[in-house]
Amino acid sequence: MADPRARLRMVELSDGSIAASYCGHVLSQLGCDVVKVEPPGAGDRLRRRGPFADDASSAIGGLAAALNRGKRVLSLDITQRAGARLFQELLSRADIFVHHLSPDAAAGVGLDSTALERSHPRLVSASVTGYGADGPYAGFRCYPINAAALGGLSVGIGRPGERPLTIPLEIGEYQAGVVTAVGILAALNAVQDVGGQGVDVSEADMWSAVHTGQNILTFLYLGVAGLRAGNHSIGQYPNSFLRCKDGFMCVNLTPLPHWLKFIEVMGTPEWTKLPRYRNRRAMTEEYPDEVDRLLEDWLMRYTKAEIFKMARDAGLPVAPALGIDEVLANEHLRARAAFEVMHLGTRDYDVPRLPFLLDPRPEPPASSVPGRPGCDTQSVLQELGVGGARLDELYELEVI
Amino acid sequence: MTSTPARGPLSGIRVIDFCWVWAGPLMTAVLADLGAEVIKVESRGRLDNTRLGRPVIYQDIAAGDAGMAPELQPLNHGLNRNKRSVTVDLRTDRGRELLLQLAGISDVVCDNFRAGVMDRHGLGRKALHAIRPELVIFSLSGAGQWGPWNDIATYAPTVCSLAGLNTLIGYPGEAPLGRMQPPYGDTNAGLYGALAIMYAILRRRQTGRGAFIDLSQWESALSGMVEALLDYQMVGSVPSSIGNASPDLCPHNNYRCLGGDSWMSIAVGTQTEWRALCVGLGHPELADDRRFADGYLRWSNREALDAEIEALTSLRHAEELEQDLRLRGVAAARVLDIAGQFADPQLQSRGVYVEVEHPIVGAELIYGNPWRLSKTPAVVRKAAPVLGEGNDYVLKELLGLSDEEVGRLVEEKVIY
Repeated sequence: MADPRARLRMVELSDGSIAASYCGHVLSQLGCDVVKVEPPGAGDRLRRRGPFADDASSAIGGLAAALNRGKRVLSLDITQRAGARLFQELLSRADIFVHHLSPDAAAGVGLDSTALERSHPRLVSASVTGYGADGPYAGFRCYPINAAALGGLSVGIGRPGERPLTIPLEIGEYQAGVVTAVGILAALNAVQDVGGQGVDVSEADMWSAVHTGQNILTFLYLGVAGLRAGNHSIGQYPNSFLRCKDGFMCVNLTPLPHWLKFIEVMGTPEWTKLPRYRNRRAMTEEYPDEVDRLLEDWLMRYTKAEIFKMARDAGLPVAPALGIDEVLANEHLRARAAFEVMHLGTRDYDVPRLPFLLDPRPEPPASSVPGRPGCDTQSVLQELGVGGARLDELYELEVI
Repeated sequence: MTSTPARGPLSGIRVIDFCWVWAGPLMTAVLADLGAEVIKVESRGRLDNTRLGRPVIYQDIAAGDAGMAPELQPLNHGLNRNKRSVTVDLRTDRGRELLLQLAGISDVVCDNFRAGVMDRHGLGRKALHAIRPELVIFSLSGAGQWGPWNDIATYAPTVCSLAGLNTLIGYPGEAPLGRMQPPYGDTNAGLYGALAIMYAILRRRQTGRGAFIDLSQWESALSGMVEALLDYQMVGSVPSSIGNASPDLCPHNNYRCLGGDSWMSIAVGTQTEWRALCVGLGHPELADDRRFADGYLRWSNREALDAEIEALTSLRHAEELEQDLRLRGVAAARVLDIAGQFADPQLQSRGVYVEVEHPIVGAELIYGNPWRLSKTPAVVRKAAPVLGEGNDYVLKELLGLSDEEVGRLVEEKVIY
């Protein structure tokens, strides 16, 4: 992947899927040449999701622009025979294929993993869906909120006994995208030995196996763990989200030395000497809200910045809850060049780069946002030897 | 030649694993599941956090906290499965020498210490690449290896707060709750770490070159925030406590069902799904209610919509309702706790829960992995290692030390 001539080639079917789009984005940032295949006409539904800038100077929403930077976009109707044939041509020259189709939809267009292993024996083909490509729920409709519910995540967010909250921003989709990319890279490592293979990712499984999996270890002995606890995480107190003068602080002082140090930072208030507030197991299990109020008495005198400085000087993991505006302005993230510039419409926007610095650096293809649907159709099809009259015919039939 | 059986994707790859606590070990567990030989470097003089705390079978919590039950910690059993353990004290000169030697015959070296710790122990990037330039060296830290805040102590929830995520968690109209039970800030970073290492290994197969990877947990948490970052820059919104709202699905919520703490996630993206939901809830006429007849109306009247739906879901048992709605093509899934997950046919059939045989605890259930590869599957082969179980293998077989030399090192507590 260091040599542009040796870029791995990837085909992506991701209409409406953040997970499949993000998987392609991640691999594009790592140097793959990605062709995103969209339905003819208006293309990927995500283009219309927004956000859109007030100046309405762009035909593609912010999220889709960010997720599809650096990809070429081909419009193709794979449900028509001519389109399906062209798609197979495209796959025959590709190393990687990712899609989000349900098992039935995939089989309907000859893109299930069995068919692909037969027709493209060196292709690594990945599917990322809510419930996976096989299993009792394969094919059931599943949005991110559903995967998070089944995956044991939502049961742990919110107040006890009250409405469970899902993780904001459909973050499970990005997780699933990364997991799919890891699976693809794993399969690429094995190509020399076994040829191509299928990678099957289920977002619900991912939450269960990676993020909430530890609960199975204590389930048989200690019962259900991981239930919601409001502004606390279960464990030694404090592990809490608390108010301060101008916002909120994340207060994590689970090791005893940290807790004792923080008491010093607060100037050892009288209440901290009482036996009731020296029993951390009781504070955690019986009266965390009461101790919250006592801590907040102190925290409310200071701003996020002041408390953070005191904690940092003492080496304690107490951090401000930054608002999105503060995140963009943060001096550490800026120093690390944690944001890349995305030009969209008439303006520039900051979007996160991949969260690691790699030396030597990967060489992604040019990072511009995709143009209107189908703007790369001709150049991509030219690579397949399709041009001239054949192209006109395909346009007429609305295959492309 | 490594000690793992052939034919995982990473068979033949040796990883020296200095990781501890959660994020790093989760990442190296991914590598181990994929067939790499992962050698965890630990020491009785400084036990990994996950070998402390409440042991499950032997209930003496105080003893567990004091490190007297290092083999009985559930968290350790999940995170460190498939790995080998070598007890070399890296704070000793001889220990460092041995570890450098080991690095010389390995492919990957990982750590998740604070920035600078590996350097201080003579195991930093320069020293390692001097021994073997082809090494993939990976360091995971809260805020990255450098930068004005690289000294800050971090935990999973603090990196999420710094990324702007926790402010979004809460009930609409209220102060944010800012918390979730799983350590998302750790598990998320572990996945990005696996991505970076897999890429570097693949690239090395083609180019022969090693790599150095600096991964930040804070930046990993930031990756999922892209939509919020753009909302702010393009529209100016600074949200907090967003509840279960979605930008393009409505209805979209977790609705109460009959009987106790029982909830169902339901989301609708198309008019067809909307009609099917109304039929499934026993009120097909609701589909044409003038408040809810199309997507725009449903969004505008979403509070009333949620109330109408919940009035109906509260009359139904979740399992039965879930089945009914799914068969009608509606996206519905019960909010499950671990009891529900364990009983769930999806998770059972897809091997999310796996039994291993631990040498002391016996048969135990741990969790599997998040993908299915058709030809070279990721496999949970063996339980988490007992302290130092790999000492003979590493010291005698790999490094060629004699029995006498090893004996001396044990006496000197270099091997401890």
